[in-house]
Amino acid sequence: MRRLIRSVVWLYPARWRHRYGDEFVGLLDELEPGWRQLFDVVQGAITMNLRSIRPSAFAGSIGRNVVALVVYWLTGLTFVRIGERLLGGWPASTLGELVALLLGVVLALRLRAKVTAYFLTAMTAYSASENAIHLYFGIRAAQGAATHFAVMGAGLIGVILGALLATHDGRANGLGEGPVGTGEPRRDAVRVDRSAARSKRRAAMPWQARSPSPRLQSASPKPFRGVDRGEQCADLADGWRALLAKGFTVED
Amino acid sequence: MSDPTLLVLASLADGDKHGYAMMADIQEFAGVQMGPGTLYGAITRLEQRGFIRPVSADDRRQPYRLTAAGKRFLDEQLTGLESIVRIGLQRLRQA
Repeated sequence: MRRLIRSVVWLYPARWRHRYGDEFVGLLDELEPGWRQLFDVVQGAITMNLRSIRPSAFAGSIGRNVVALVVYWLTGLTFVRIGERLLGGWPASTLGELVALLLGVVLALRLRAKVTAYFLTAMTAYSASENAIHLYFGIRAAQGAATHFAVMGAGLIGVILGALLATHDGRANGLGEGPVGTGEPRRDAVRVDRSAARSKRRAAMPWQARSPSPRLQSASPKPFRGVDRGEQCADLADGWRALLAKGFTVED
Repeated sequence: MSDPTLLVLASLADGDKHGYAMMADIQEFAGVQMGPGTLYGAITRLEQRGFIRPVSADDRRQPYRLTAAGKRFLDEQLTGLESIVRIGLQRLRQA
């Protein structure tokens, strides 16, 4: 039960964990674990996440995602039409769609439209796999085994692209914003050595209830506060949480 | 009086306390068993509003202290409650 309650701390917003996580886990360790505590901690996590939503940032995020989607759609339509009318149709038209998808992903990342970036990345994976199979067989529509290969290939490419995107998202998520409450982006911090970021992230894991060993429990996030604020929370789980929460919201 | 923020302020009124000490104190003087999530929700709000501030600590237990603004706020709130309690009791006894 204690481990379960400690793991719920991960549901709190990353910035909150960065500020209060250490002492909060310390308090949890002092208390007798029980269902009542578990529900209270879950309720606290929900409240903190709701409180972290800022309407202006929410609207801005929606706007950026819509712009990225519209630009992608117009680019894709243009490329497909060019392929159909000027380049002899298939496969130029579908390759044009693939190029538009890649451009859409780049644009979405530039606009910090994370939901659109993930969505277009998934579409890119499937389009790339589908086109590769179609070109291999020289047909426009594959059936049977070829379809299965296309789906499997899409999954494989999707995982690779998703991991790349999560890495990008983690770096931007952890390094792109300033101290709590300012809401100011820290673009200067984006240029960071990737290996250093990984090592700091590993070093910062222990306090966040990953391991019950005394040695790890004694680790403190305090050395990591400051210039690398939030970076320790930028793992794959945070990448997904960012997709669901930070993609549309900005924390306090 | 069950507002967690008010309970935390009242608990800190007689000196610095860390989370566990606050929970025990609130249980003692108010009979309210406050959960850790509720407690830290209140601490977060109070710190954001400048009513409490953390003080230096040697271990993971982070003590908090009431600020001057927090004292004023608590005083106003308790004075208001005191008035409500007094009037309410008077009316009950007259009825």
